[in-house]
Amino acid sequence: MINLLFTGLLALLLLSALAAPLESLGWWAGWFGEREPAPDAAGPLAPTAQARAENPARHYMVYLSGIGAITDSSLPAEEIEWLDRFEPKLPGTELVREVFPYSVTNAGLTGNRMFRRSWTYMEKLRLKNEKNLLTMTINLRNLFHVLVSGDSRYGPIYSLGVAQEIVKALELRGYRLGSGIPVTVLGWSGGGQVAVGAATFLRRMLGAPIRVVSVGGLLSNDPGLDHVTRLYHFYGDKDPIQAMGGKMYIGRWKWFPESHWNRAMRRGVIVMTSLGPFSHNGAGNYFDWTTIAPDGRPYAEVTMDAIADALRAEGVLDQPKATAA
Amino acid sequence: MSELFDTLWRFLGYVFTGIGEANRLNPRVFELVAETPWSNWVIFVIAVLGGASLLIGQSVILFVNRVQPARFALSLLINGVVFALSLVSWAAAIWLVSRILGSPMPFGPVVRMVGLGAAPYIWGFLVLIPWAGPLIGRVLAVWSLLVVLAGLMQLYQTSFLTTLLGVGSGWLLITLLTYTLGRPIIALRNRLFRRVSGTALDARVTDLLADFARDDRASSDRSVQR
Repeated sequence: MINLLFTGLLALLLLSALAAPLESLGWWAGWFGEREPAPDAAGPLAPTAQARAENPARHYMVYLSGIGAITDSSLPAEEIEWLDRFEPKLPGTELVREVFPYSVTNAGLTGNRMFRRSWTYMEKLRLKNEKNLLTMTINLRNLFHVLVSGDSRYGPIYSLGVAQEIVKALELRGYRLGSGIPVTVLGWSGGGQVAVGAATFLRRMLGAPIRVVSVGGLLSNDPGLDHVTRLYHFYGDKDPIQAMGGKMYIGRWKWFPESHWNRAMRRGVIVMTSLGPFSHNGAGNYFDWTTIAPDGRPYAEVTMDAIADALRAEGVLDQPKATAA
Repeated sequence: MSELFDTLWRFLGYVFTGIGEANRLNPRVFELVAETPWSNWVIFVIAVLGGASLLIGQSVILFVNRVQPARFALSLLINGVVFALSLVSWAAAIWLVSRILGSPMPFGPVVRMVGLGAAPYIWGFLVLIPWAGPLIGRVLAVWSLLVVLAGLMQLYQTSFLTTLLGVGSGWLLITLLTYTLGRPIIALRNRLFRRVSGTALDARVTDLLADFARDDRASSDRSVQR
């Protein structure tokens, strides 16, 4: 019985690992999924976006979720709550949440795809109990897509697909290509790597400076680092997952001074900031409202304040409105 | 009809026994395979399967060049055959080196042993796995070399170092020939691949970065749908 379970688990792992690159490669080759022309400056806007475009925000922030996401809106509850409470802290910013970063076509797992029913079942299981072990298959599936993003053989194709979807989501929120309005891509965990990868193409597609904020991101030595204005990497001292990026990707090792990562470090593009003894999951994580920092703020608030402060220092975020005494 | 299936079934059994024993580095693998009927075909099929599987692992080149499914499948088969032929040329080099070194090995057994060296590449499709794939590819290459070394050592009762010298020199010779006298053959092979795949096979993933990530607008007329 144990042997059977182990074999099944291994087979599932192998299939997930092999299917992950094929999804992106097949999309590029036109085998499946839709392929659309790359967005370009001054292109037509969708009618729904037209009204918003007349009164655009001063700054746009695109959120890319962690590997627990099932669709752009079906996220672990803690992420949703954190985003809801973060949005008011971003004056003058349009927060775009409509991107599922683990698909080159923005197709959520419960959308039009082969194992739709299984993922829908997983979603139901997670709604009942977030800690159900079976729902880890969602994380596993998405984790392999993060590895695809960080693999130099597939990463550019994957990142191009995600970048296109980000541009579409921005346009729907009234972003006009070529306007130069700054865009920040905020990625949590695996979303951090996907954000850096997408930045490779976003700067040219949008004609605007691109900043990436990684919260506990598993970052690789990605060519996107040559295209970001700034990468803020916020990490916890007790988060071994974000630290794995520095070990897994040899381009991040100090012995390769001409790698994308090391060049970006030398140019001061990468800003690494420790938030304290934060962990990746469980109690004391970046979205935790119950663990309190020494200054009295919950960890979740420490995370959002750090991001807002960094962007304010860059001048892309408006000053918070003074509250009446 | 059932007799044909029965024969095919038995043949496949020999193929997978050969692959299994070679992958276990069983020094008697050569004798085991030699005892089976159609042993040359068994080894040929092992080499073709290894080459095809390896191409699945390295199929990014086909996808990037937008090779269509039917041509993709044909490319796998052709790569398997070309891979088998490249093993024959490696075996010829080892045979030549053995003659130069004064301890000649008969050609046939060397070819068949080198062919069995393709057995680990049956796992070549695993090279597709993101992040770990390239490392898996290197492990398979070393594994394949060990299969050949173990087989030849058993076959000719030579020491590890002598066999390594012969096999290594053979590999060096074939590398040298590839870049000199073998160039027309390589050109022919590449032409065959282009013909089968139906594309120039000249696009690389790095071209995407050059085409779509450049900051200047000079190539803005190029789109994803080329």
